[in-house]
Amino acid sequence: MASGKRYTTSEQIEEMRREISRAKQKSGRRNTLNNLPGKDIKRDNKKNRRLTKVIGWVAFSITVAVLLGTLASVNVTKSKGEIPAILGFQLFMVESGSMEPTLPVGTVILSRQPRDKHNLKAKDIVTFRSSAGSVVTHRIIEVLTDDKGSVSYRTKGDNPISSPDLELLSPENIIAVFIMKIPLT
Amino acid sequence: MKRSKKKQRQLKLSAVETVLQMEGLSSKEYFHLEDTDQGPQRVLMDINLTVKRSESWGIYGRSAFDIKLLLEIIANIKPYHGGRCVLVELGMMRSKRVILEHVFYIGGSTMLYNNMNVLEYLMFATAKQKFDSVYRQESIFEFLINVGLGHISLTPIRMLTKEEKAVITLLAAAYSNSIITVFNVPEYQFNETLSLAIGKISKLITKKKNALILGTKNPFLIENACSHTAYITDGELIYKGLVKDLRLDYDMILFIIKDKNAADMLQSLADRLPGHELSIDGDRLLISDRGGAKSDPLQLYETIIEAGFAPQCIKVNPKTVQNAYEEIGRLHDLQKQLPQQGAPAGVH
Repeated sequence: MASGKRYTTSEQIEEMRREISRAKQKSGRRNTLNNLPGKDIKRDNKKNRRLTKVIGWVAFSITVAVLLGTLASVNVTKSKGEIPAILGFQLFMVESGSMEPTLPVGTVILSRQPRDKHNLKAKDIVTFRSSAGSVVTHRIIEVLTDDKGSVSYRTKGDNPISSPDLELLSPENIIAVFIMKIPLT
Repeated sequence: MKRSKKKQRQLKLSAVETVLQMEGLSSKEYFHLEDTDQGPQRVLMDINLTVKRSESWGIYGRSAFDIKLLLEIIANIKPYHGGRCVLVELGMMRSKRVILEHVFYIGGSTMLYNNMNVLEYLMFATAKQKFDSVYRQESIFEFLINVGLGHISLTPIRMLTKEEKAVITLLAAAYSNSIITVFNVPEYQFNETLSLAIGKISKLITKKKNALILGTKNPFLIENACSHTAYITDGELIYKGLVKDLRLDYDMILFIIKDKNAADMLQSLADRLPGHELSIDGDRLLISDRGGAKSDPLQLYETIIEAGFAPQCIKVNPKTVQNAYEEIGRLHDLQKQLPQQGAPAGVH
């Protein structure tokens, strides 16, 4: 082997071999690479590519099926006059200024169906059906419990000019609890 | 759809046996010969060459310019004037110049990244091959050592000579999927270590059923790295065929005698060895076959002793490409000198 500063020395070669050996032990994988490019590796790669392709197709099919199912479910729910929900989540659009400045008119909000309608707290924003049949989104300002232990909520819009709602809100009328505003809406 | 077309094309290419077909090709470039009455002469004239898969061709010549031009035309870098050139069954347009995807062209030593060392560069060049990187690294590293390039395996590329850089580029070509590798650096001087390394890389290329075409002025390189060879001079291919056949058919030197009295020996042995031609090369006396001479070393030794000489060393010539090409060149020059007197048969 030639000597001189610019050449790789035997020590460097041995050190490199040790380093590769350590890396091999660390990875703990089977050595199938005899000649580059080796036939075994090619076969393994082909298998991997095929597997990736199959997984990709399955994922795509599932996504398409879920989307179609959701579309059908939304249409069926709408036709029944109910509010459509996907996996318990619902979207609402704010149509009045009663919740301004928290929720300006035109904002789309994401809400979810509550796990326990009787266990909500003050300051939660809820969407509910009023006695007049309209869907309203207001904040709970007080939780009331009567002698029999049944719970009702007092609600109010965040707009300073709004007064607390006259009707107490019964848990049965609650449709959803606010999670977040959809940005840029 | 696009992918399937690509696959179909790859399948089609893998079935192609003839990777290069040149018929009657002539170059656009001219030589202006000032000392003759002849007008300008094309650098390349009537070139016919067929290269198949798994072949490694060494294009040899006296002028690096001729070799370089021919290989540039082969790689579709330079336009040509006439004839036909088909590369992997694709006719090359005379004016449109583009290096095709299945051709790896090496025309210099500037293709490498100076901020990497040799092993890093080769890892980078093979990164698209999705093998386990640790084993890929080990394979490349051990291959570098096996071909005799261990001494530059971890050397930064900026510290390599241009010849070493060219060999590393050739190794990158060997690891690629290119059907043809064109190694066009006839002006480079490869030492013995690098020539042997090129030989081993050439074997790797042909093992993968790809073809290598290299241009060189170094017969030793052809001997080491090529299965086939062609000799270009005065714009023509005056020999093309197997390296093995070339050495056997054209290296006429039978024995090499090394002695300080070689010149005296020549005078004395000329009459005693009919059918042989004797010539002096430094302190060596070369005995060549000129018409059915017997190549019996014992008989030769006895003749020399009878003549009163005791040579330091007598060697049976191992038949080299260099001697063969010198002989072909000599015959070609003779042919040129005797144009009107029924020149001897060509050496094709």
